[in-house]
Amino acid sequence: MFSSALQHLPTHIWQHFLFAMAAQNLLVQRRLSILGILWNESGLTKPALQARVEALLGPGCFGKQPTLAFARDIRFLRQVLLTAGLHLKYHRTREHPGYWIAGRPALERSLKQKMSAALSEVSPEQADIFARLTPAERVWQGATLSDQLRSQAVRRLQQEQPNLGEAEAHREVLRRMYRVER
Amino acid sequence: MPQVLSLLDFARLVLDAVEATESEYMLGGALAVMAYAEARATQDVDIVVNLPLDRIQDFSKELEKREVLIPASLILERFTQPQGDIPLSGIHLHSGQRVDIFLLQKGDPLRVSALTRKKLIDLGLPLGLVYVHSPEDLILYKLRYFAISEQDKHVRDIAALIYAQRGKLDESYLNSWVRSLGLEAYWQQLQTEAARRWHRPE
Repeated sequence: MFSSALQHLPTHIWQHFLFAMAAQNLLVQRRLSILGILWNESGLTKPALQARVEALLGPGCFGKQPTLAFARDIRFLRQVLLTAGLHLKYHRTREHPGYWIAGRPALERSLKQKMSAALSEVSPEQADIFARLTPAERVWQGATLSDQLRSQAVRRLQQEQPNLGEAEAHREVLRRMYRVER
Repeated sequence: MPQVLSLLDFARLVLDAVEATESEYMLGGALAVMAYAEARATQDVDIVVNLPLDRIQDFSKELEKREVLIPASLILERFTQPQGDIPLSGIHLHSGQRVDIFLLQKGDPLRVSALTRKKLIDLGLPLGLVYVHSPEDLILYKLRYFAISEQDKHVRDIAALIYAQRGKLDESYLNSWVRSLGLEAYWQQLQTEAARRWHRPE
């Protein structure tokens, strides 16, 4: 078995090899994309999953016979997952249709830490104060804060670059905010 | 020359355009989180719109009247070539304020469900009474976005919603969708962590 000859290869070498193969082969790219999407997101119907893959790889990535290509991709991935002890299933209920991977492992440690850190930022004392405000008061506070932060960013940029007019500073702040390439 | 247009004035302007087409809508994102939980800064306005195909042209024109340019052809393209849950972004020409518009598309039962559960809430002037995602649907979308992007802000928002809405959330609705979206591990972890942090003995 050729696989036994590869067992000693470190994971990152495998990854680089796979990426290099995928870069040269649309079929590999497509199947990896489907797997990546399904791993992160359950409940996608067939059209939604196809659309998501096309958004990543471009329209027409399923070739001239998209239905057949998609069916083959799913069959292949189902087999791959099965080998790993997981089942790719499809809910056919009207309420919640779509694909899901049964037996997907729980969250990775790094993700748990990330969630824990984000939760620790919520202060019950502060939240209790917000609870005493009306929805309108909370929205006004948040929106005012957003407007002020933006104005501050414009002013800071004008201090750094005094030659910049207000219009240009505004545009530059927006460019940075929306990460628009020059 | 950029004009000063506050976030709330901009949100009202977008809502005026949506309401002019008599389309069903609901606010999401940070404004919705603020409605239920806590005030926080945001860079844009998020809105879901159930736009009938015969009103695409009208919607584009209504936005254009308010200096937000989204061509009708681009909106139509989203229906004919759906790209998953990716919004149409519109930027106000003079102020630079941005709106992300999520269109209701075929084959999206979660969004259909969310629209039927939207809440009418008074968000004060200049917004007034507006439709907002229910807290449960906000949590579901935030969980989904976190699973995709791993951006901390989504967990932060979910945590704020869980705390502010404790005892009021429809747990069976949440659990049913969490199961069907395959987000059990994320939801369980958040609930466990929240209980550990905020449980106060009587």
